[in-house]
Amino acid sequence: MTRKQKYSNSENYCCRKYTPVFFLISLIFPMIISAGSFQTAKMKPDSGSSALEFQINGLLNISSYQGGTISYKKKFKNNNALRLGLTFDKYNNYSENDYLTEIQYSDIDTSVISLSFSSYDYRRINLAVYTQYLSIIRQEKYSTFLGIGLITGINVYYQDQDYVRNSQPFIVSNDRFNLPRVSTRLPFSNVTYNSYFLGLLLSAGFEWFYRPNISLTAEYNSRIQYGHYFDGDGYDGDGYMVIRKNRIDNYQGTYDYSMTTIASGYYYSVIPSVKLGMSIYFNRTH
Amino acid sequence: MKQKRLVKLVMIFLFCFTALHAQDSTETLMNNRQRALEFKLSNLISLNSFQGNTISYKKYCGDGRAYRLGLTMGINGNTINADKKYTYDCQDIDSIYSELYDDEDVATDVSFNIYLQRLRYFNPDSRFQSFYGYGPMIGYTYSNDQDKMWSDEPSSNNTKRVLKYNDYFIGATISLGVEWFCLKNISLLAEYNSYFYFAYRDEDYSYTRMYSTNIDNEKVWFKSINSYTQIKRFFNYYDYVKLGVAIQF
Repeated sequence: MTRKQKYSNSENYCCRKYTPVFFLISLIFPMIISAGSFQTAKMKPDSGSSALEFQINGLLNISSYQGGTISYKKKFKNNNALRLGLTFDKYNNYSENDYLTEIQYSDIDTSVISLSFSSYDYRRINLAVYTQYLSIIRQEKYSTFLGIGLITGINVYYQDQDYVRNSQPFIVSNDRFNLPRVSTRLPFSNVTYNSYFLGLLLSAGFEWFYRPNISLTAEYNSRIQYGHYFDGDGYDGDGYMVIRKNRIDNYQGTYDYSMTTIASGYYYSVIPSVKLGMSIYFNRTH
Repeated sequence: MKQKRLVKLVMIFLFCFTALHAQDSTETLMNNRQRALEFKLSNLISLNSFQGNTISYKKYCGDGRAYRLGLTMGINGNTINADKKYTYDCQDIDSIYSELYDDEDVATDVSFNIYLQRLRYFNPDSRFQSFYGYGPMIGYTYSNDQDKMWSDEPSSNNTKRVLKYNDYFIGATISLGVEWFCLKNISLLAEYNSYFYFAYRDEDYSYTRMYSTNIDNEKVWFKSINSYTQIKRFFNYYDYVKLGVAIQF
């Protein structure tokens, strides 16, 4: 490595190393500079203001505050606010694969070729809606609020997997020895899962307006949730084996088998959580 | 190494920020506060409940006294009912047989803990205060875990398992810490905690299964049930250190 390359690499390393630090300084320094004006500035948002809310999960890591997709807050008169959260997740994955396996027995000049086919289909949809009414007890630079609301949603999940091997390996050259028979079809599996849920959201927290349109939120949450689900699983295949069941003794040969499960169930839970978040207000009138 | 240096830098900036704020705040004495919610700080900027898992509340009573209430409440239940069908189609001898099973899983967990603490501050008029605290803690946990796979026909796959227990515990907490009222409504606290408690558990367990054996060339089915009831008593002690923030309202 030349000296120039070394210098260039170390320069990149320094840039990469200090990028988060520079980013943090650029975030925090304006807050420090504006700290002196905190006491005089009007820090509460106007009625009718809207905000996007973000959850702070760690250093330089944010996500939606309520729900996985977006979290929105609207302030009304009389210190009330409405929070809406949404989770929407849709995922499809379909793949097909063909496999060719060749085993060469060089001593007897024989090849065995096996062909396989597999397919995989996966689909998933998650949808949840959060609505919450917030009552702001004290609307100052530091606000205290209580919240109550509803959550409802559905989850749909489907997976279909198939793997087929050709019925008999075929021999390209001389059949000089007795080849073992292989199973002709490996399991086809199918899973479906549907659920819906309904719950109550309770919150108690604080909001600190360190800029007129930016606030930090610390909040205790409890989610009381009931869900119902339906589950269907199945697989089938065929093979060759000795079955020694009580009804069919010492049977040897091919067979098809299948298993199906149809299930339904319900769950209930109380899930506490603590969130740290940031709200950015817009649509301010002045 | 890089991460440590980064964390140090961030902490320095955060403390500069709060220190600048502290200079602006003229009312930072504890007696001006009445109530607070306390959050535990972990992993730089991640919040948890300070005492208990659900909520932690503190009430300042003046004269250097305060009371802290922590709560843990957890309820989880899950019930599944399933019909399972196994089918074997033996083509060479044109025979089909199938097995039907009723499959049921039930799981229920309930936990409820209360932590109560009386806090005594040594110098209530100062912005930096040290304090100690003590108080009782009580808790209850119930767990019920059952799974069953059973067919109307005799089968070695027929099994039932039940495990139930109740945990009761009672103990005490001791705390020693410092609290810095850095802003008008916000204080930072660092605290040593010791917990010791006595716990009592009553547990019931049973396992049922079917099996067969040949007697005089005839297959005979049996049902076996293994069960026990036991009582456990244990005494535990643990301690840890917490960093937290209290927001007064």
